[in-house]
Amino acid sequence: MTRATRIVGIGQPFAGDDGVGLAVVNELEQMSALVQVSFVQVSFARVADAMGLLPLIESSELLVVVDAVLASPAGQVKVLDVDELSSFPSCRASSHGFGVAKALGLGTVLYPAETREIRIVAVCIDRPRGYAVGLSPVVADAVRVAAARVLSLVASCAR
Amino acid sequence: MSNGDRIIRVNYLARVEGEGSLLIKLKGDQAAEVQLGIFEPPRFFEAFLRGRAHREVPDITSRICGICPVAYMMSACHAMEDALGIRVTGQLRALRRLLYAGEWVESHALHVFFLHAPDFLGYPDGFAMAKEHGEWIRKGLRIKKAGNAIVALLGGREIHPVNVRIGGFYRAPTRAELEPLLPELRWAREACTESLMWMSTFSFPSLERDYEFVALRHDEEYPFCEGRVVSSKGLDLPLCEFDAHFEEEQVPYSNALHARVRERGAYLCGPLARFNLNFDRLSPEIQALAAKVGLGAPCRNPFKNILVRLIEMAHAFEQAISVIERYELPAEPCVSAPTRASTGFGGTEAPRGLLYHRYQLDDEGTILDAKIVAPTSQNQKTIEEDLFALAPELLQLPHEDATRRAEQAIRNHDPCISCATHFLKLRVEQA
Repeated sequence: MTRATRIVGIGQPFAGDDGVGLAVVNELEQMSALVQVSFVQVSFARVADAMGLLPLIESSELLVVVDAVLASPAGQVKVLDVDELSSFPSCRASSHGFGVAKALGLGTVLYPAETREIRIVAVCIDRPRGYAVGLSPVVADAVRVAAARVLSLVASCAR
Repeated sequence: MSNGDRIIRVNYLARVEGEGSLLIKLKGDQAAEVQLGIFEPPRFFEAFLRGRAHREVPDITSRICGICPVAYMMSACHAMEDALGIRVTGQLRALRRLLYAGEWVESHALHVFFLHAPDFLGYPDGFAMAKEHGEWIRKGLRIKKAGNAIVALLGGREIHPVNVRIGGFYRAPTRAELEPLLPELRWAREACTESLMWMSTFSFPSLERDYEFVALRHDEEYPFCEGRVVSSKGLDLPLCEFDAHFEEEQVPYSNALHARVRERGAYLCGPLARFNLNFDRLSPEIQALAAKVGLGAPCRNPFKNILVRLIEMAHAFEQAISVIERYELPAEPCVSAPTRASTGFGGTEAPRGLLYHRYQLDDEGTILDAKIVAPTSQNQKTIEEDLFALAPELLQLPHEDATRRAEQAIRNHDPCISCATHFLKLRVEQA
């Protein structure tokens, strides 16, 4: 049986550490040979806006979202479910969109049958101060750790 | 205050670009004062456009808004084309209408299904509504996605398109690229009808006001990008006379300027104004659809904006389908012209209403002066007047219901603040 597994990086590459989710997906793509666990079909996606998660939820059995969260200490990696993510600061629902936790929560309500599992691999960061390209050293060091946690989730799901 | 007078104070009206508040002072059963205070930080776009090249302006101004960047791009392009004597016609003009239709759908769909419908159904937000009305939220998101697809295909991406330039586009799509959109656009057109039928059964508060409606009016079309500025109280003028008839004024409690008709005061732009001033420009099919739910011009109930937005979405899909079915690849993706010292005026109908741009260029095309009047600024005074009119009803309602009704009244006009008014904290003070 083939299970559709989607790994989604979310972030803004021009806001410094906020782009860590995208960096983790880049890292995983380079390791794609490792990711192709026998009967797990893995695909990658990148979104800048949480609204972009909704169609991905609809079409995935396992969705792993890699994102930055505002928490200390910077560089720590956490694996969360949707409810746990809701406890982190997020933007409000608005005509410009809404935050990752809200989008994932909405997705599970709207598409309950389609998604078997959603997990969030969260990398703690300090609040970005403005335009910046690249990650701080401590968050850059967390990229490989986060990628390993994603692989572990995918492998455990495949069992 | 004394003798049972009350103060309704909303301390925290979050809005997309900043934050706002609402204060209603009630004296007896009337409102003595209403203040929609917007403390959104100043953004200085008009100032930092000075000295920039005219060709940069569409991309810079698109960053003013993440939900209606196309409107900013199009108003800027039209103003520059007016300054340089460029006329965009034929298929390039049609493509612009298609892009604009996509943006209307993107904006209206999110507002109608996710931000405004919960008000009518008694839910605190779209997330709560989704638990019991998931099929309508799914439908709304699919309709929005159809609009996103138009903008992504024509603009290069769903938000802040990168393919728009003065005189047209950097690249025009082929017919083969556009045609795959058609099945979903046809589905969405029908989905708008179904949604309209459902939402027309909502209970609408009975408020009706004698607004001065202001919108563009085109010779033949329901307005997207072109037309004269007309009003329900007799204005009919070219865009270059906008400043002679409209002014913006500062109020001490708000960072956002309040616009007014010089001769009279507050006015309303946006879907309700467009609908009332251009009903005869809608196709017979769309007019019949409106009639089916009892909507006709003039409609003066601001709460029925939600229905008018669905009518406008149906119209947008109708236009989009028509453009694609008739499309032929233009010989060139844009029209160009040499720069010259001049002043240009541009106005388009953003989802929330008339968006006016004026630029003065030197002979090399450098911006010497810029003026941008956004729909939210134009409607603020009217929103306050709506709340004046609503005050007696608010007084009769329990605290939580009064809060919700005030939020709903603000959201009727989908200002950038509307989204966050679900998070209002309303304080009622007994003097």
